Amino acid sequence: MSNTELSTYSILESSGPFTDPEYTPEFGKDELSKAKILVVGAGGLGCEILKDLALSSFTDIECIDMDTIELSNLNRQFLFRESDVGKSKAKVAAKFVSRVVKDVKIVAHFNRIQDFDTDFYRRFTLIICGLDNIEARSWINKMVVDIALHHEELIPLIDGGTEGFQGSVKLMIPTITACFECYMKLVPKQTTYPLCTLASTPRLPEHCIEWAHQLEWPRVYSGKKFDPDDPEDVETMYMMSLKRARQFGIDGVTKSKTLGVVKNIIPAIASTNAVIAAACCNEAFKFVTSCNPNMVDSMYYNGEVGVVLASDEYHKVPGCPVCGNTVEEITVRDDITVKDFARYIKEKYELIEPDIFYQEKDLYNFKGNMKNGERRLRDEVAFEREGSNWRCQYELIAVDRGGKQVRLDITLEQ
Amino acid sequence: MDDKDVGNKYDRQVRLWSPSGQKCLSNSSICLINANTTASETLKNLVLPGVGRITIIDNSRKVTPNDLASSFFLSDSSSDHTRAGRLANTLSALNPDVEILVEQRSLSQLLFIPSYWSEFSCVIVSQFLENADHERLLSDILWRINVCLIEVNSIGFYATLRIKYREQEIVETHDNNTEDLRLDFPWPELQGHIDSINLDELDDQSFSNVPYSIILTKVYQRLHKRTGKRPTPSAVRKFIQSELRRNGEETNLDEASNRAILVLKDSREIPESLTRIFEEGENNDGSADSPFWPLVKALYFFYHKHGLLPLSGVLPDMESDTEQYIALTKLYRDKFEADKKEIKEIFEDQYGGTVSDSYLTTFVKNCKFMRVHRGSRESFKASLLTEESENEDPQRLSNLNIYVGFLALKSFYYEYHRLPSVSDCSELRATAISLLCHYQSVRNFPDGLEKVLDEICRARGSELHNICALIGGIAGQEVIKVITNQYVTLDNCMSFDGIKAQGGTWRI
Repeated sequence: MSNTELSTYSILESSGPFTDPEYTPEFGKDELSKAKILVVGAGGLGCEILKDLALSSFTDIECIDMDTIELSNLNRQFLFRESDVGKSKAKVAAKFVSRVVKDVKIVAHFNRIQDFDTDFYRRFTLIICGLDNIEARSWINKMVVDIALHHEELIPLIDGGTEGFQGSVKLMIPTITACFECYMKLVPKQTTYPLCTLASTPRLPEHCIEWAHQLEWPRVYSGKKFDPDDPEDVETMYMMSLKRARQFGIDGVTKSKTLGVVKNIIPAIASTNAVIAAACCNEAFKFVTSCNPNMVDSMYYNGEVGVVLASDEYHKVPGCPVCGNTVEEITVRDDITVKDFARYIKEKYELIEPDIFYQEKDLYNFKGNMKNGERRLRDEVAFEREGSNWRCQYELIAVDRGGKQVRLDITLEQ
Repeated sequence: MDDKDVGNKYDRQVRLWSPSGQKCLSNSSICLINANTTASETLKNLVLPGVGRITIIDNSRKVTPNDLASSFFLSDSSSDHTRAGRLANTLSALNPDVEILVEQRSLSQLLFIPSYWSEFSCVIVSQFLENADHERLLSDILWRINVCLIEVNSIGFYATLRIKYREQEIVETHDNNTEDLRLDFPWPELQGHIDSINLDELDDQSFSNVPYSIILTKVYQRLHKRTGKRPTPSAVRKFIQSELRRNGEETNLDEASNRAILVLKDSREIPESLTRIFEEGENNDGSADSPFWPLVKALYFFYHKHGLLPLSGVLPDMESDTEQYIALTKLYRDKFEADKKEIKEIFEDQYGGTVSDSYLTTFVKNCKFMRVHRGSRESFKASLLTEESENEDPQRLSNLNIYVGFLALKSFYYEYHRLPSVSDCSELRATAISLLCHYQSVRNFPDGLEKVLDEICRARGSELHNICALIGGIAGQEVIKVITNQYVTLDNCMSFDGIKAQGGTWRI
């Protein structure tokens, strides 16, 4: 089956009632055949993403994963067999999909994402992440935002994430919509236990396991690192934890729990990965071909109670440490006072007590020592004519307590 | 989780549904009718987690270009040219634990053998059956024997899922709120324990080790004595701050303040869902092979007598020392065991049944959040459109339009024996109008339905792989919930809009 015979091509043949009026089938097909997609991660989500992209008629795909295949991957990572255990995930996955779907070319990289530089990432039309950790996502996010800022090339980033019966998809256009860092305040903190609880007042099986993991193992085996993939090490860790638990009369230490705690295992199932990967690739397909509009910023799925599947808007966080270094364009009335302007900025960007200045000169602060509050903004800073409006000659900067910073490009309107 | 499963290929999922759920899966038998792309994506999500057996009924259909155009699991190059044969081949390779059979007989033959269907835990129909008679016959047979029927459909950017289940009793709903501290109604042993702790006499070290539930109960009782009313969280926080604080470092008091809202929780209150189960339980004798309904009656008797449900025995972690915390854990566990024993006695005395200890434990631990779903065989409920048209949320109406669109699509298919193309827009619209008239709900053509129908025609009858994979994921998940009888199944239909990435659910 050649890629142009796939069902994706038949949906591109005509416009639908929701399609952009400027869409043409030639445009959709042309963009699809030109697109170069990077898939980061070839695990639970990655396997699904590679299959979904290939069957969406994408033909030029690359894939990065530094991991090798483990036995516990096989309940969901359907491109791997028991005989593949120990091999590169990226390579086995790429080979499998290219064998089944003709015409697709998948280049596999058995590497860390940090092994590649900006020029490598700049080659892609779009990047999809199917990762299981925050660090790698943040790294890729910073990469695409930096490319947008320094090379003025927008590479959309689609991020999928799952945990048990839940998952989410984020569609991020660097510097235009919220970036991964902007979402960070929604990410729950990982559970940690205070050291003194572990050392002297354990109450839960987890406390006994973490005691063994963090304190007892390094004491007994100083210099020998614990290897969670070595069954003997796991057995030793389990016995240590169990002994501790018995000593304190605590129930519930099992080998399974021990492994779950020391490896920080997140439950994972095939079906959630299928849903999230498909939603990622559906957005990629729409974005590249323009055959239908994209969803708003992010989608959330939860299958614990019935089926919850909803997408929502999510706004950029002003002063975001990664993408916040852009200028906000705002328009205000031409007779606005400095004080009203400062209050407006404070509310709009959810600042606490910002200092507003330009070219190292103070314009206004909320400390009560500025006497220009009742004066008009246009009399305090220089503006120049632009069409029928006035535009500020300087970039204004609002810096909040804690360093959050918003850069402002002001236009006055009558 | 059982230690024999540690590190094996099911490790990551058994952490969600425990070995008992995994056992249900490996003992299950699934039937799938129509081996198209949506079906193969659904089955993949059942083969991987390890269901027992899958039977594919596909009337010996050959693989068509249309099938190959969107499926990953039909493009096997073997000499077998039937869809079911190929699907069985490729899926078998995913997991050797699963037995996959291809049914040689046709669906119309099998519909005359009602006993054929009783071995299945669940029957999945992908896309449409050949005609309305088959649909009705199958639905009637499965309804009679209470086997779950799941209908899954996808075309272009849209998909739907419908679950038809006569009755499902879910005990293990995995609700996150099973902690039950009983701050307002401590039982005598707990009260004795609380009274034995005199906060004023404790040195700073011991004081900061008193678990927050004991602090909150003491504060609750003091304030209640003072005012004769249930205290407010702010009064509790104020009391802790002004009368209990010593050096400001006590983390147990921080925890107590942060959780002061718990004093508002009335231990006697039960969720609406449980009230309904109690009402139903009065007239339901249940089936002989499940102790569920007799246990519901025993539970109601218990609740009526004590004004409280049995204790769940689940205690959250609290800042404390080992000794005090373990002592408290034991009190909660003993009370749970005592309540469980009482339920068992009521059950045996009044209803004369037997129940395994593990079922009883699960039942008592989860009783507050149990669910009973009663389904329907109908395809549609007329009042839905009126309700959603008046609803403020345009997305809900838009999702309902997609569901209606698929009903029209089915009528079209039964009438013309093919799926509509771009030139069929007016026929599909006509079909939709007569359908709505049939349900007597059409005063106006619903806002936006026309666009949905046009988008359906635009797909020219083809399945988009991504949408098949997505709805196949959801279908797989729902089948797993049905088989393990854990978590809460969709009740009972949904549609997915792949343009807006929005799902909508309804009860029919």
